[in-house]
Amino acid sequence: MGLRDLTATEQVAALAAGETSSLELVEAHLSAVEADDVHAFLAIDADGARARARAIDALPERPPLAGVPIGIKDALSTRDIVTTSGSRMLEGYRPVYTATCVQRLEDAGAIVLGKTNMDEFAMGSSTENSAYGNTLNPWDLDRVPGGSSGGSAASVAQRQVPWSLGSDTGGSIRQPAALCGIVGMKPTYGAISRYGLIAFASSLDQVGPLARTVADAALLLRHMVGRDPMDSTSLDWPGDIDVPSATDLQGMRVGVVEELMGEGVEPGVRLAVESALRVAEGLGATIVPVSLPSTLSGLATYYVLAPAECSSNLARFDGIRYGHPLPADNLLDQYEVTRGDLFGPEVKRRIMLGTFALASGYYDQYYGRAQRVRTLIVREFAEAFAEVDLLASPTSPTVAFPLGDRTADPYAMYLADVCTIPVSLAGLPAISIPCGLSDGLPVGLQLAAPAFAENRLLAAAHALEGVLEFDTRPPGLAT
Amino acid sequence: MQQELSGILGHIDAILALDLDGIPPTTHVVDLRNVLRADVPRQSLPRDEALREAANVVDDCFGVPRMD
Repeated sequence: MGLRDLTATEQVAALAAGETSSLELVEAHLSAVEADDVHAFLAIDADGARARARAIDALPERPPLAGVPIGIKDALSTRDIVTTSGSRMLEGYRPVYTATCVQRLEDAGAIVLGKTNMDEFAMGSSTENSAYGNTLNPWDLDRVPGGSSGGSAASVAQRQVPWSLGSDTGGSIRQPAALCGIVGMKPTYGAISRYGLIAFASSLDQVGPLARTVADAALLLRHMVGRDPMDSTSLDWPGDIDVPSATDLQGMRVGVVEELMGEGVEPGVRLAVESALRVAEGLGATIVPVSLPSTLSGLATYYVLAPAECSSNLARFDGIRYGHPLPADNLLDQYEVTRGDLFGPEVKRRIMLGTFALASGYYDQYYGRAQRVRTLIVREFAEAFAEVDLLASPTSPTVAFPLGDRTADPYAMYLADVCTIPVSLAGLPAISIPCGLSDGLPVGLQLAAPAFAENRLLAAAHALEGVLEFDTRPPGLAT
Repeated sequence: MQQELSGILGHIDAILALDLDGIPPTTHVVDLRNVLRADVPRQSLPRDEALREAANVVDDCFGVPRMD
């Protein structure tokens, strides 16, 4: 077993026991990052990572995550490391500050190896909308890794890094985690500061961990949560995030969302999820059906609200304060040619949809109604959680689809997030864990919990993971 | 693009059929109002750093083409 086969928790232990050094760990992972067989990385900071590793190895006392490498989604600002958010609009952009969540991990000793590929400005479900080429799924190189945090998911599955950060607006952590056979978690809205996260839809965006085990995801989360004066929507975190140790689900009531188990869900995915639910039952959980009818309107609601927010957020990109303005004789022409040329088709599509939904005359019909449907969804989740402790569904209705399969049909791509979007609209925490294979490809089980019930969610996911014993190593990955 | 957008709006139109009488809008799931910080001066981004990534800097400002 090589160093790259160790989970992050095992790497922390090996470092503490003096069995390896930060520099050894960084070198072992950098070799895989530099080879990058799945095009998971957009930028690599090899020199910076080695320098940090040497500095950490020289410390008399190790910080808690000392020397463990990590990959960071390119939507998160990292001082002096090129950050593009997958867009030509930010080609070569070097932020002048580091995102709070990344800074907190660096303060805890984590070492950033580089920036991971993503759909442009986090808009997409396959990483095919990246302006810098698509990422491949380590389980099948002819298939997508999911998205938008596809690089973060593929890099963890490929064991280039033991864990990574992603961002999730409608499923962008959970769906790629499911398609790549790893764990991905979106915490409660407000749990982690968004300062330094390049904004897509501010009422939905959340940062979260991707890892090979639930315990690793919990460990990473523990070092990021809490109020940040630089993000007024970040919240004081009640208590600590516990590293889970539960081995059963005694007394736990798990609701299965009927609307997310029916039409559109592949039979192989449904089978794997149902079999995981039987495992949960064997661990002592009570499984009950739950109906959340408004979740059926989740996708339509999301595709009004998220584009509306993005059309406002992306107004800042004009090439003037950062990026590269294209030549023009006057300012208006410069805006038009710069934005027209440097934004990709999906970003333009969403800006136009959002502008339309907010336009006078259509505002009440689209944006206003979508906000009210969001209320219905929030209420239905609250009513459900009065009866059950957790809600379960597939993370993605399908396994990883072939590259190019959905690029010609935007709505078919949007459907990839049909199971993850309702939870996002309600601002609740949810985790995807690998629960089995369908046609040799990983299936994700999504568990959702009430706001701030991260410890309950992580404990249940950990107990299930222990019995499911999913092998996260893709078959083609050399040992 | 026009066809794609029309197609997407066709799906979105599903929300037009819902009965939303008396349902208030949700703008934000976190119940936060007027988050204020102490009114104490603090250092902002230094000017040379703020201008560092700009393609065109004129007299310590962001340079743009004429407006007409």
